[in-house]
Formats: sequence, structure tokens, C-alpha cells
Amino acid sequence: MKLNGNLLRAAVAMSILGGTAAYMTFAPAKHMKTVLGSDHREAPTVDGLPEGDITDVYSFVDPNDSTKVDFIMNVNPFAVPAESGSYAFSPDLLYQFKIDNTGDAVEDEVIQIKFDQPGQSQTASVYAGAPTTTGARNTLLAAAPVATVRFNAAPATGSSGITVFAGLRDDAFVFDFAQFTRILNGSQDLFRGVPNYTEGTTQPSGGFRGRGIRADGTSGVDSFAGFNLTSIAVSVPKTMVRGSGPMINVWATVSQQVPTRHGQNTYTQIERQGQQAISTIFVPSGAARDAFNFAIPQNDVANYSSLIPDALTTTDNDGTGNTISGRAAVLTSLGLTALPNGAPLLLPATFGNTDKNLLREALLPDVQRLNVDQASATTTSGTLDIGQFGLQNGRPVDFSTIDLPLQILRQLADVQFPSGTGIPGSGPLGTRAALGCTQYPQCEDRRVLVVLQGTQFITPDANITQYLDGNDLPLLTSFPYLAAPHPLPGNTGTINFPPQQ
Amino acid sequence: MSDLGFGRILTCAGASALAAALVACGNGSTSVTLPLSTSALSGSYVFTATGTDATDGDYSVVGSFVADGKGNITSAVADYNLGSGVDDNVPLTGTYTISAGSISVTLTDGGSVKDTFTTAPVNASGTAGVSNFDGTGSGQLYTQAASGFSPAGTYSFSLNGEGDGTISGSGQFVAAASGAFSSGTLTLNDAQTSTTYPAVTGLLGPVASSGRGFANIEGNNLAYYVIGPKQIQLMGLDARYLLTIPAQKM
Repeated sequence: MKLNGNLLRAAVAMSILGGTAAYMTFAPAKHMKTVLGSDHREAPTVDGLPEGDITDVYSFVDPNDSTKVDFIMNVNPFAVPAESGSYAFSPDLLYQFKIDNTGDAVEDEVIQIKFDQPGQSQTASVYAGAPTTTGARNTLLAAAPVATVRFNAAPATGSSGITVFAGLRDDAFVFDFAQFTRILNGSQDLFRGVPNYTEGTTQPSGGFRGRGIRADGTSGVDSFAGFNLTSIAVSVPKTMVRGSGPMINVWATVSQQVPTRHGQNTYTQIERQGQQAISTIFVPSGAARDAFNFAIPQNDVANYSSLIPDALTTTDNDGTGNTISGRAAVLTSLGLTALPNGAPLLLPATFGNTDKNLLREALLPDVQRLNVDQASATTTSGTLDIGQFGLQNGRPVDFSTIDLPLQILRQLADVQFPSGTGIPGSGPLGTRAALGCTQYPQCEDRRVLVVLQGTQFITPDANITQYLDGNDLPLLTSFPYLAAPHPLPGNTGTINFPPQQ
Repeated sequence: MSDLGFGRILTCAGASALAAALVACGNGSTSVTLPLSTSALSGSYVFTATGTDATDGDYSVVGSFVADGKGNITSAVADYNLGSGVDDNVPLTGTYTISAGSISVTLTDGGSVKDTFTTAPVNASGTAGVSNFDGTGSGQLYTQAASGFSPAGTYSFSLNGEGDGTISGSGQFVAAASGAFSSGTLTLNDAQTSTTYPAVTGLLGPVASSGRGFANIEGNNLAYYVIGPKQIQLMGLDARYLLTIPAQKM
């Protein structure tokens, strides 16, 4: 297939990200109503509550002890190393890992973490067991803590075999968010520029704008490099979380305390996360993400399936060859499945999916699906089973957080292309739930270009198929696995700061 | 739960569907005495209440419940904006009894949340007054028909509550099928200040089986309850102020 070069702009799509809406109120603080709240934060969303803003969740079989599984939740995004002494967890919040081991997206086991005071003198108490209540409103378990640890102290192991760490860590999330933003706002086209594109019959003026290739074979810039956050990591015996089988669903939540007249140690959910970037990619920004954060996985399929496009299958669904193999041919023809212009295909062109709901099944409910009897997915030790595991088996700290979803979406997300172009997907929309790209040569949504290359080029091209994130600091080889926090600027180990004089 | 055998006076002109089913009226002027049974409360309802708690200050509550017609509230959910904070999306159960023609409802989460109020069978328009909510609070009870609701449409709404002073206002918004607002206006009066918002943003989020959903207007989080295909009731979830917003689809 020979395609017009401008079709590169319209070749594959993903959707739905918007600008951040400023928070504003139409009613000022009131005086008439008696307010007896104490020191808890008042903002209704996590935007104003960094201690409750989950940045990432990880779950994986402990690589050093296969009898244990590890769960990590990070909050306090963009913690600046120079102010490291100011970050801690909130004693007003309840942090929870929720584990479903029966497959109904309802928690059967919870690991609750509560902090006793603000500031870095705080101690974390870990509670574990079957929840008193399930859903968005929870109560602290009544039993005694199974482990405790001081902020920033070495991991501590309780009598039940649970090991816990709570403290500052490097942010292990790797994403060229700056370039992503530029693509969305139209000032750039791709993660990596393609100035001399030759595959098409018509060369867009100036080629496709993007970052250049450096000598080390990278293009991307990790927008999260150099920042710290606060992390809760627990390592628990498998026997504490598994059900009758090895599969568990895992997600993390943060909850705010309700008025004490409504219950002691009772909390209502304000934040949650399962798989990486689901809310960011598929849920419109602003209030809709608040709604998503307040909701529970049990209702995700009913409430959010409409946000996920159909998956391509082996069957042509619009008379233009709109199949997985058709998409692969388009991408290959455009030169986007080979370096330096794009990552190789993740899935073979013969990928035998026959289920148009595959993406929905992989992404919803928003939980991490972990086989506790299987080493977590990396290129060397795991497997990729979309649908069974969602995006990956659990989520190891070093695994490709962004590139993998980009590659899955560019190969599987159904897209409506301009009619009459002959591109697979340019046929009638019919009942297809496809992402819109009917405004040629650019899709209606600038975000469609984000997935085109299947990578953000942060790792060197030579390592592109290793599916490792390429964090700015080396990850630890033992619990809690996340890298140590960035030091004060100028201290040994500082990145991009002059040494201390 | 058995019928307690108390009766009440109904006039045919104002009789509810229930009453109409129980008595054949003549020219509409005849008064009859009917026994009021637990079946007087059956099906899905939305309730609202506002009031003042002696230790907690002013509050507002909105919720929904399902009555089985046998004295049981089989499921319920409510949102509370209390003086001491917000407690949202609280799952509840409960019971109700009939006494002297009124219905006494008790809702609880099985723990510290325990609400009581009295009401009456809904009238022909599907409403009834709520009184004695946790003491002196009052509000409204509506029959609920959530199944036919979809967010899409143009809504007009009024707004009442407490901020710097008494809040009042009105406006309208247009919600798409996704629930996101495509346009809207709002005029808000709080104490001595009047503010006009010419382009209201917001969202009506997904609705649960209880008829409850999350909403947002101009960055303010709210709970909303579907009363019927063209009627919703919103309530503010910001502890700094009280807002109740009835809205009608135009």
C-alpha cells in the first residue's frame, strides 16, 4: 500500500485528553454554617491535596522472594529535592491497597496504612485483612497493626511477615510529558521529528515536527526525572492475598475522614488508581476525572466502557480492510514500525483477536491483574497477555509504563479515517465505536498523533524492544525497589546541578 | 412488618394513586377513612432535608432509598454536608413504620449514621413533605423513576444555600450525552454580592442504580439524584458552603 505522506498524520489514533481546567468556585467560603473541621484539607479533589494524589501504583511478585508480592503506591508528585524535608503523608488520609481475589472487582482483602502525625517524624501503621466495608466508604480495620515503620526509616517487618517502607523515593514514572503536551497543543507533531520522511507520495511541508535524535540514541526527555515523591511499599506473603486461584486484582485508594459524628475511623474515597494512565488517557480532564476517582472498579465497565474504542479484529468491519493486519500494513507502509521513525510492532500482524471489546476488557475495570504465581512481565521474565492481564502482569517498577499502551493502541484502536481515502477504517462508521480522525490531514484531536510512533524514545533506540522504562536513577535490586530520592542540589548524585562548593 | 392498623382521612380530590386504588370515589367530594399500611411506602424515593444540628451547625442531606412495602428500606444511599464536614455516597439500610397516618423512616449505615424522619404517602404529583429529620430538619420526598433518565438535555435550575450569607440563584445548562456541559449560564447571589457566569462548565457523571451520580458545576463538586427522566436534585459537596440545586430538564 502506498500512502500519501500526509496520511501519517491520520494513520492511527487514541483519544481523550484535554487541558486542565482551573478550579474555581462560584460560592465563596461561607460564614453562616458552623465549620468544625480540623486540619484536613478542604479541596474536593486531589489537585489541592498532593498527599492524596496517587501518581503510580505497582504490583509484582517479589523478585527476591517468590513467596511474597509487593505493592507500591506513590503520592506527593513533583517533590522538589531541595525541599525534601517538607514532604510527608497526611495523617488525615487513609491509604489502601485493595485486593480482589474472586474476580468481581470488589475488594476481598485490604492493606490499610495510616500515619500518626504530620511531618517526617510520623510513623506508618499497617493494617491488613478482610475489609469491614467494601466500596468507596471504608473503616479502618479494628485489629492491631501488622507492621509499623517510621518515615524514611529502613523497611520494617512485622510479625505477620509484612514488610513496609514509607518515605521519600525517586519518581520512577518515565514519560516525556512535555513533548506529549506539545503534540496535543499543536506545536509539535510526534515524539521524534521526521524531517526527511520519504515513504509517502506527498511530503508535508517541513516534515513532522518532533525532538531530534541525540548521540546516545534517544530523543525523549523524562519530564519526571529529578523529582521525588513519597512512597508506601509493602511486601506481603502471597497467602495473605490469594484466593482459590493465583489471579488477583489490585488497586490503590486514598480516602478522607468523614465527620466523626458519622463514625470514628471512617473514610470516603477521593482517589484511586489501577493500571497506569487509564484516567489520564481515556477520561476527560476536570470533573470527569474527579468522578472517576470517587468511583469504584466494580462499576467501571458499566460507566466507562463508552470511553474505550473498539478493538480491531481479524474481521474487516467497514469494507476497507480495517483489521489488525490492515493497520499493521498501514503503519509499516508509513515507515513507523522501524527505527528511527517508530518502534517495531508489539503484536504480530496476524494477532488473532476476534473480540472488538478486547481493549475494554484489558483496561476495565481499572485494576492491575496479577498472577501471584507468575513472575511479573518484563521482556526477560514475563509474558504479555492482553485481556488476561490488562496491560501487563501486575506492574513492575521497571516495566514500560507508556510505550506499551502506545503500541497496543496504535495497533488495536479502531479509528474512523476520512472517507474515500482507502485507508483501513475510512469506511462507514456504522455501529463502530471508533476514534475520530475525519479531518484530514490532521485528526480532530491532536492526541491522535501521540501513539503513532509507539514510543516516546526515552530509552536508547538499541534498547527499544526491552520494554523497560529507562528511569533517571538506577532502581534498587531489593525492597522497596524504587530508587533512593534525589539528593539536595549540589550533593553527590545530583543531576544537572553544579557540585556543592 | 405488619400493618399497624392506623387510618387516615383522604379526600378523593387529593388522593394518591394508592388511595385511588383502595377506594372508589364519587364526585370527588367524599371523605373516607382508609387504613394506612406499610405498603404506603413502596418503591424508589428521593429525599432531601435541611436543618440545624445543635452541635454541628446547618446541614443539608439528599439521598434515595428503596422501600419494600413491608416496613424495610432494602437499600439507600445519601450525601451529607454537615457542619463538621462532608460525608458523601453513604450506603444505608433501614426500616419504616406507620403511625397515626404518618410514616417514620429510620436509615442507618449500621454504625454511627442514623437518620430519622417522618413523611406521608406521596401525593398525586409524587411528592410529600419530610419533617422531623434528625430533630427539626425538613425537606421533601419524591417518588423516583431513575430508569428513564439520560444526562443529555437542557436544564434549568435554581440554587439555594449558605455562603457568606444566604445564597440564591438560577441558571441553565446544556448537558451532552456524555454528561459534559456544552453551555450554560448562572446568576448567583450570595449576601450582598451578585455574580453572573455566562459560560457555565460542568458535568453530570454516570448514574448508579440508586439514581445517584457525581456532578460538577463551575468546579464545584455535587451529588445529584435522579427523581425522574426530567428532574434531578443536586447538592453541594464542599464543606465550606451549603448548596441545594433542583433542576428540571426543559
